[in-house]
Amino acid sequence: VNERAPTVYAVDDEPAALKAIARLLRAAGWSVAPYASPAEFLARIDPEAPGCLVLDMSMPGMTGLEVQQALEARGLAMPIVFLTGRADVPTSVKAMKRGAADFLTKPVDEQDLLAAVRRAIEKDAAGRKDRAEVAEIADRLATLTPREREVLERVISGKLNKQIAHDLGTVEKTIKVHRGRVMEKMRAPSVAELVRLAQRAGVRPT
Amino acid sequence: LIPLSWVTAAWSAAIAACVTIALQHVWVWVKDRPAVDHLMTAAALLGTAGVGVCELLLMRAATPEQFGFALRWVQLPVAVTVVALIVFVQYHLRAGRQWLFWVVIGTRVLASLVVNFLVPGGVIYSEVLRLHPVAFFGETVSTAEGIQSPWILFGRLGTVLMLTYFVDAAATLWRRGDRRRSVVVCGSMVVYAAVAVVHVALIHSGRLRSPYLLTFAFLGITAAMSYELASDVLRARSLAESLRVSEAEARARLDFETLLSELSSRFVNLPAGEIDREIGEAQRRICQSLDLDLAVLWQWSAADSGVIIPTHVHAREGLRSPAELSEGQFPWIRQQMLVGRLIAVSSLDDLPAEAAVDRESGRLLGIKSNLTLPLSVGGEPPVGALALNSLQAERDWPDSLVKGLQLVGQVFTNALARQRHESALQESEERLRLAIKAASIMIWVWDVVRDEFWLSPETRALRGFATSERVTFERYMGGVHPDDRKGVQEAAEAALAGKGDFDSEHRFLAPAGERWVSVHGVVERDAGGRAIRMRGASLDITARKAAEADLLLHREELAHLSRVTMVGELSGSLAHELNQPLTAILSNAQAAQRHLAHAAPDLDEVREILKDIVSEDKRAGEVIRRLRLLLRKGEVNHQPLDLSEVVEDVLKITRSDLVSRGVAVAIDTVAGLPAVAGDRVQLQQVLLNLVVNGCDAMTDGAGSGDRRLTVRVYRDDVRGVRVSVSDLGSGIPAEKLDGVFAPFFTTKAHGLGLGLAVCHTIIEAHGGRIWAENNAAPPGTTFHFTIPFAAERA
Repeated sequence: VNERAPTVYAVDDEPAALKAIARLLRAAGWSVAPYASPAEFLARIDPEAPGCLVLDMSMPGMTGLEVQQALEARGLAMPIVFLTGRADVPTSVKAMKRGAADFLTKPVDEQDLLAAVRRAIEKDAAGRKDRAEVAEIADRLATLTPREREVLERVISGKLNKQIAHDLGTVEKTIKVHRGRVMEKMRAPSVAELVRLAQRAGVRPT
Repeated sequence: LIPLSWVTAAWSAAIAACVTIALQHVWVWVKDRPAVDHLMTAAALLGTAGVGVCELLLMRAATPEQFGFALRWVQLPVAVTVVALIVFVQYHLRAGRQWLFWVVIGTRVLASLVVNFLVPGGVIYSEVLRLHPVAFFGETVSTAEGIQSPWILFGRLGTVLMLTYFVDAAATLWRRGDRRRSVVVCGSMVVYAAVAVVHVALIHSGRLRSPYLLTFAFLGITAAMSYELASDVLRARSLAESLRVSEAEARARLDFETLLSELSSRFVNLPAGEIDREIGEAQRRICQSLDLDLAVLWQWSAADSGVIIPTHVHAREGLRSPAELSEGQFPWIRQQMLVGRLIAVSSLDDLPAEAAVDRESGRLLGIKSNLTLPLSVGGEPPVGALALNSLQAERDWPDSLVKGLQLVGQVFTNALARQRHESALQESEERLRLAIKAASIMIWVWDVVRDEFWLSPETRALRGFATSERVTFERYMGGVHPDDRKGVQEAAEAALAGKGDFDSEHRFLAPAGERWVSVHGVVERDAGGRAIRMRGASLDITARKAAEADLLLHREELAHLSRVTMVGELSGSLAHELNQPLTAILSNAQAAQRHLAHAAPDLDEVREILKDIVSEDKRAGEVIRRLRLLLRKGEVNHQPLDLSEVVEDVLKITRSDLVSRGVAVAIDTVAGLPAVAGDRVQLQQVLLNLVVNGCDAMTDGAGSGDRRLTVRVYRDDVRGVRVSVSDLGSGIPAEKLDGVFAPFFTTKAHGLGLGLAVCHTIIEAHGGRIWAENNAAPPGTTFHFTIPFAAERA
């Protein structure tokens, strides 16, 4: 769980608009990091910091869509609220398809902007929680021995101990021991929970 | 019945007052947690109440022990009050040095709370020796004599630091110009605290026998704090109100500007046949947006220029269109329109006395307020008038609204002018065709040897020669327009000398007036090669010449129209330019509202925000001003110009359009180029055309995909200053390169094909040249034009 306070990043090449929007977000109580160019923002962004991005669509050098792609390429799932000077349907469709959190037209009303930012921050927090959980399960998986892993893959495919023992060329009793250790290391109170954990971590049943 | 002691009554009343006011401030703080200043005021008041309780105990002490006990414990409420005061100064007034703030808190806490309870006796007296009852305004109260603790100096240091802190804060506020708060809040803190300090010091040193009176000093200070908080609330409310008003105005203006830009863009490229319908639609939308009831567009009749007729009438839904509208109803207004004067009246009573008829007609129609705009462009006689009326209520016509509507009027005027010109153009073409058909070809023979003309009778009649009159070359030349004689003479001599046939177009002064003739003659020679005779034919081309002159006039109209068209194509870009400042204004205003919703608004920040709002509003005005300048249809005005500046102006107008189309622009100008002589608006138009064309060439799907436009301004030694605009499009097929400047040449789906033709006309008129060539590599096209230096043309 990340306990850092979320930051609203704002990127707009127009200094006056950037200043005003940062002011408004600050007045609403958010911590804001304004950037006058996409390049500067991409150079400074901290992947660990929770938050969202308020991004102007048309900028010289790099358009909003290109910034979105650059973040994606780095594996950063920061939710983006796009701001645009003109309501351009094809561009907004493109942005939303790629997962934009929102798409607002300038001049933007504070209610729309603040609601969009709040939603984006919530989305970011949920995403982070989700990824942390998967990472946690992966850590547990890494503690399994190769043999325990083989047993796990067969348990979650619903095989009985006897079948597993046959598959792995050993006796049922040994499998029972392995199975107990797998449940313990994965901290799974039941087979149903073990299946859920394995699925979340992307383990394929054999 | 025990007689009430007034000492008990006074101190109890003070304590009760402190607690009551403190509870009010606590309540405010509970509702608005960030309002730390209310919490601090409450703490200071409660501390003061505590001090009051302790002072009562001191005055009523019966033994030295009781006195010592109360004197030790009074330090606790004193510390609470002092800390609350300086936190208030730091957070509410944002004054006082930070380090001093911490030092004062530190020494006060150490002296009153730590040292006081650790050393024997307390921080004031290490031992209270005996009590001295003294008379205090008719009552007997206890004072004490004791051995001063060495630590008392530490306590005094804290007090001096506190006073320093207050004085420093007062000075800071004074310097900031916040004199009222400096005097009322910090000043009262300094005065009351100083008096109390001196009083206490006199008591402790044994020079004065008096009870402590700290309660009333603190009460004075906290009263000043409460007053300050209350007046802040009042100021915040009045600021919030003025902000709400200005935001509402900004919004209304935004809506109206949006409507204007939409209306103007609808008229661009509109076929003449749809202009009438579109004007009706525009009237409807203006009425809807401005809550008006009746819009009438009057036009001077094309057939009879003295008559004005209503051509487009829009009445609010549910309202009957007026059954009769004619110029006779409004003689005075008609007169004003003829001289191009605008009428704006909130009430019909505002019309002058000589408009009695107009007023009566207006009343019959139910009109309450009226705005009538003459429709004319660039000081030309008006083509008509646009009248907007409110029937339901009287209303004002603010300047900004009238200016916006004048812009609409200009759009209407241009559209109507275009409608008229299109029919006029057709008419002049028709006239030319008829003239050619009806042209009588006149035959003549000139006997060179005898110098005598043979002319057909019709020709003689037309030219004004008598039937039997002998016409020599000299006599013929006598009829030729003096300005053209030299040319005719030279052409004749050249033909006689054997340099081809005789060809000439010249004016001839005939009885019926001046006629243009086109003359062609062939020389006949004898065996020796001597010219003996010339036979020829003359064609009357007066009608054609007249039509050509008409076309020249129309061309200027076309140049303006194509500028309007260009602006229409850029309207998206211009809307974007307007959008940026409007975004900043809206967000700034809303941020300010949020600040003002706090109990202790940061007014410095709000002042900054208002300053930014003003500068952004000016920026939006600048965009509109530039647009208006470009649309101006003024006279051609040649003056010395820096072409680099013209280039920069145009790139400013097109900036956001280029950005949104992903086109990067590189400008390469040479510093210190001599000025050229030219018309700024016309040259802007040429550049605008070339830049927009270049962008179109790169974004129409063709080309290498790299979108870069290069604009160079440099010296062309032969021709003056040269401007080159290069794109990376797919180029122009070689066989079409020469034709691009011909009228109606276009490669675009929606192009008029007039842009480059107009550019050509403009550059030629500047004595320059314009041409296009394809780039070698990478592919693309470069348009060059040159303008001679200003000095050379003069």
